[in-house]
Amino acid sequence: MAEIDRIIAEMGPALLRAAAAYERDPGLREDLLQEMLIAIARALPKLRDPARLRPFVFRIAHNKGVDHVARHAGGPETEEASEDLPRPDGSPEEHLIDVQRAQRLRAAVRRLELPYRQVIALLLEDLTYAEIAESLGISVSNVGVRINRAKALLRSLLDHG
Amino acid sequence: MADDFIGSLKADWDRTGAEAEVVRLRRRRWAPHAFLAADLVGAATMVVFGLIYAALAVRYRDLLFGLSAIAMLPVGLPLIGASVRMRWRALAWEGETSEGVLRSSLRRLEAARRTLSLGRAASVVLFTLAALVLAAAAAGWVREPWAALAWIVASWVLAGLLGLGWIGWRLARVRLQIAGCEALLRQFRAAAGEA
Repeated sequence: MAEIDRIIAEMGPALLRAAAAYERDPGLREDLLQEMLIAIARALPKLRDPARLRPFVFRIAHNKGVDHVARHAGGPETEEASEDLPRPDGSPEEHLIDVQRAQRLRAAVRRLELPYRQVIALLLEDLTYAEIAESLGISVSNVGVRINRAKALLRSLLDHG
Repeated sequence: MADDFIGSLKADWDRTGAEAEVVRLRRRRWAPHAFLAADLVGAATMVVFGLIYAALAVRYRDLLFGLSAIAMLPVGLPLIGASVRMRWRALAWEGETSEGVLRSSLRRLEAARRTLSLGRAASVVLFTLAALVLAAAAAGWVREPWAALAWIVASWVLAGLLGLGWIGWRLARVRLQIAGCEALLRQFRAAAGEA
């Protein structure tokens, strides 16, 4: 349990973002995050090399995300919920702009097909191509191809909505 | 590794995790196991009652007990067995890759579809048994009073109708989920083919 607590402390925000890449409803996103944490806690004894913790954790998190999407496949789409991010020191207008930009990015990422969504989400977490390949169980060359395609799609979505 | 485009998005992306101080492991881990245990208890109860009814049917040469045993053993048991297998499969989730996860989901959904189809057949058997009870009562082969028989037949028919309605609703949902899973698998296959 101590190990999962340490992972939550170090990677909690990243896992929350991973969940946000798959679910826009805040309540369901919290459920998904809990599923991810439980799966990670269960799988931890299988981790051979502690240096590979990040790809290991992200692999489980994203597989849980795919499982979540599969379970909700064919269901009704939920509306994008407005979320209140922690208020920074800046003005309310700046805060509102920050919130809208963050929501717009998350919405655009979620509109990507899963293979492209995963690589973008992992790239935004500063994983290397090799770590992304390890997380997703694909080749490094396929990661490069997917990232190029994903960036083009994401740029188009952000430019044209 | 990240380029200017990704770099320009990083700050917006990181804002999503800013509320992560509330992240903690909350869910009780025993919930899926409790559902599996409930199915196992249900199956065991059906077997025990089915065997008791079968023994009573043989001992007292009672048609009603015999039909009840038929409703419980050959119909109920495979139904609950399929449900247990389905939940066991869900517990044994081992997703190495995203495609593996989707294939596993498809197997789970196919198992659910088979279980629901079996349930639909079980509902038809319930109607048949109800008709058999009425026919046997009309022929004078059943000793129970008509009021008791009417209550039994009504409960079987009601259970069958409710079951059919629920199964129809669930089957439609499962078929949609299967189609959704297959579409997701196609996305991964197409992305893998691009390399």
